[in-house]
Amino acid sequence: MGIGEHFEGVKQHWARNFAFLDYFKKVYGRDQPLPKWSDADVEEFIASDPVYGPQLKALRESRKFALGGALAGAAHLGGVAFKYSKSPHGVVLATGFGALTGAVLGSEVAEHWYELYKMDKQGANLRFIYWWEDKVSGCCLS
Amino acid sequence: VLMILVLLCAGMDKYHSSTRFAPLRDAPFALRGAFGTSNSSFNNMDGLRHSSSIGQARSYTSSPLGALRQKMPPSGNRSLHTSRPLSTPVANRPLSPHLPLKKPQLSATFSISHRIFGAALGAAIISIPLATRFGVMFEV
Repeated sequence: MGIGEHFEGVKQHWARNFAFLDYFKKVYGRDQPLPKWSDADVEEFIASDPVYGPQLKALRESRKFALGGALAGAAHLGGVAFKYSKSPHGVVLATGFGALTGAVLGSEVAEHWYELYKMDKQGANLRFIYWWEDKVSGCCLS
Repeated sequence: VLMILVLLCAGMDKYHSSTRFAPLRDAPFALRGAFGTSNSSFNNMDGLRHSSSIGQARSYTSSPLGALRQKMPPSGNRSLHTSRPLSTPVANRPLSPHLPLKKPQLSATFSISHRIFGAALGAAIISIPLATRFGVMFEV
């Protein structure tokens, strides 16, 4: 029946959307937890991998866009609420929502600035995890 | 004859418009003492409307709020809220109890729980695409 195929497609769609949870399993759902990596380790991976290194670097740069957007959005909407409203909880909520909206807008700007739509973002993260696993198992014999 | 009819109609229109809005104009004037300090924006708009149309600008200062001595904004006929922003001090007077007195009825309880649940559900639903979008960026 076509409806069975339809539901299989729906399940695949949601499996793709929630696939980012697998990364938490790779990091947190292990028998022994992976040692926490530092920024220096990430820089080392970026220098070593010619394909996924620049992608991961672009991803990390896009964080700044998102944070900057969050600050701008929070300041703007919080400022408007502070100027025109008397309710303190309203100002707090407006600042929070402005931060959220600004973060989304900043990340969208970064998406087009670095052309992140061309790359597999989850794949770049996964490549780093695999590289980190090999590095840690090699050096510490775990 | 036509001119006279037109003039009469214009005059009747003005009469109708003033009588149509007269009860609305009187209502906030009548209720000016019924609200406490929490409703100063209402009183300020009431003062604005009066000053722009009738000219009884001092009516609201004769109410118990007169001690607050609110200034009217110097420009514009309408303001979003009162001209006093969040940073200026408010008179430290207690409000009359409303929440401890009113018996919780099903309608009110239902309504506020519906609002709280809706807000929580909205936050939960929007957190899914937000987590998807930002989880990739802040993962490594």
